[in-house]
Amino acid sequence: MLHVDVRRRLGAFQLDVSFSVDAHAILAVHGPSGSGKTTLINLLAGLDRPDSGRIVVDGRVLFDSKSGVDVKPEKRRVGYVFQDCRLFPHMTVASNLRYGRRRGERDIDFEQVVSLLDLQALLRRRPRFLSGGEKQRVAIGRALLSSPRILLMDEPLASIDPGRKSEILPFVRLLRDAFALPIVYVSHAADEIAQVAERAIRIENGRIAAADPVRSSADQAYTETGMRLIAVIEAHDSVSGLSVLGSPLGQLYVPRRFEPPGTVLQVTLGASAVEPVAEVVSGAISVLPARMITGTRT
Amino acid sequence: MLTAAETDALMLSLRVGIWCVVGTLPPGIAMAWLLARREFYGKNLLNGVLHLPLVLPPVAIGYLMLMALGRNGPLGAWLSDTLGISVAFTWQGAVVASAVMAFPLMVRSVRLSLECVDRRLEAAARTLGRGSFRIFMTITLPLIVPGILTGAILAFARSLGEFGATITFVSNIEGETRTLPLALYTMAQTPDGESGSMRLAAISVALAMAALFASEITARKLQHRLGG
Repeated sequence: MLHVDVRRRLGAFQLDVSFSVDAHAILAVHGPSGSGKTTLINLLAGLDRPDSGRIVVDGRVLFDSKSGVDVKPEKRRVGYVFQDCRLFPHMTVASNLRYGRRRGERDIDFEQVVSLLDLQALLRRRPRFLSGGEKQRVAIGRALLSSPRILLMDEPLASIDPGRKSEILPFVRLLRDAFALPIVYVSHAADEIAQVAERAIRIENGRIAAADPVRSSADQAYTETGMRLIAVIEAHDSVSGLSVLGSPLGQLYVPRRFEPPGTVLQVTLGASAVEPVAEVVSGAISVLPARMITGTRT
Repeated sequence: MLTAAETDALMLSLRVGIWCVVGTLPPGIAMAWLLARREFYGKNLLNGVLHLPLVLPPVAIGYLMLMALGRNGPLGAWLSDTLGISVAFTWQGAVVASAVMAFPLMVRSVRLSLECVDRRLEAAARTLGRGSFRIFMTITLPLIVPGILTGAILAFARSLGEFGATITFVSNIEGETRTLPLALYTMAQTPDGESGSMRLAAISVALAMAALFASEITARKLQHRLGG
């Protein structure tokens, strides 16, 4: 759980935002460059200081101008994945990963992170021998292994060519599920946000211009209305970043899973994820035949 | 192969050079950090004073040191009264003289390399839960090792070549303060000293070349490790 209400003036620019993120949710922050996205997460990480306001993570006050609380960045337990990765050039990947290691109440297992992010083959290399996508995965792993209470990601895909984005994107959702971390994901790319986030806020000129649920608050929809069905993983497509599931209703396309093909999954189809289409469209969209039985107005 | 006097001068020069490097390293790094990372009142003045040994005649530095650190000087009297240390006319005094001359070179190269350290890496280390001192030891220091190495080589070279401040401050005592340049100077003043002078000049060249090669090899290894 994250509550933010901060103001920060930098020259003529004024940032003034307030929002909350549930635990286990990914909040996308988007907006034009120079709108204050990076400033905002620097404030959360403690690398910059708000002029006034309040920041609370998991009930712990990190900053409060009224009571004079300002926890140092090294004490905030905020995992920060920087746009430019910032891997330490004089250390191997393994040393980079272990750098922020600490034994906390929510200890994150080294081997688990390594296998999740597929880093085994990279451990002994130095950052300059890594591709952009590999660096980014190491940066994510390093932030995770410091056992953070919240993860901040600043345009993690900005320096990666489009074909490689599918290398990272599925991981982000996986992180939320595997480690129950709230994630603030800064991006200006609409397709990334749609693939990754439950909610999005749009910042323009330092203010929240729009706050909209990307998947109509998927978590909520899942619990309220929808259907459950059993599906089997048929194939993975690493190019599109999708997995194909076989279900009694037909083939379903979902963000890439990491279980091997053949694994049986329980799938929840949120009511809001179902969208009627007039005719069959091509592309990676799951289209199921359906017939309207009743309609209810609310 | 070498005469006893030549061996004495060579070993003394090496000893003074090594102690000069060892002695200027910690304060040099601290001073470089202060100048590169902190803003304070009188910073320009401090920087100016620090560079004096580069612009003043070495003899003047030696004379000022003799006045301050000699047995009757204020600092020298205090040192010998309270700590029982006297550096005037000893090889330790020669170390102090070349350390003063080498200090600005050490500070300059370490500072230059500190200013090139990407501070965003330090910010990243902070978000990973490390405090300032730990970050300095694990991130900053390893990244400025090339600058420290350059500073150490410059300081060593300055010490090997140091003449004016040394002869003024600690005199030219055989076996105590007669380093290679002083021995060479003495030999050149002696009638029929040409061949002896040539031999000492050759030793100086060999020593300097050896130091350069050593630094070149170390720098290449570091380059490889840090990846440029």
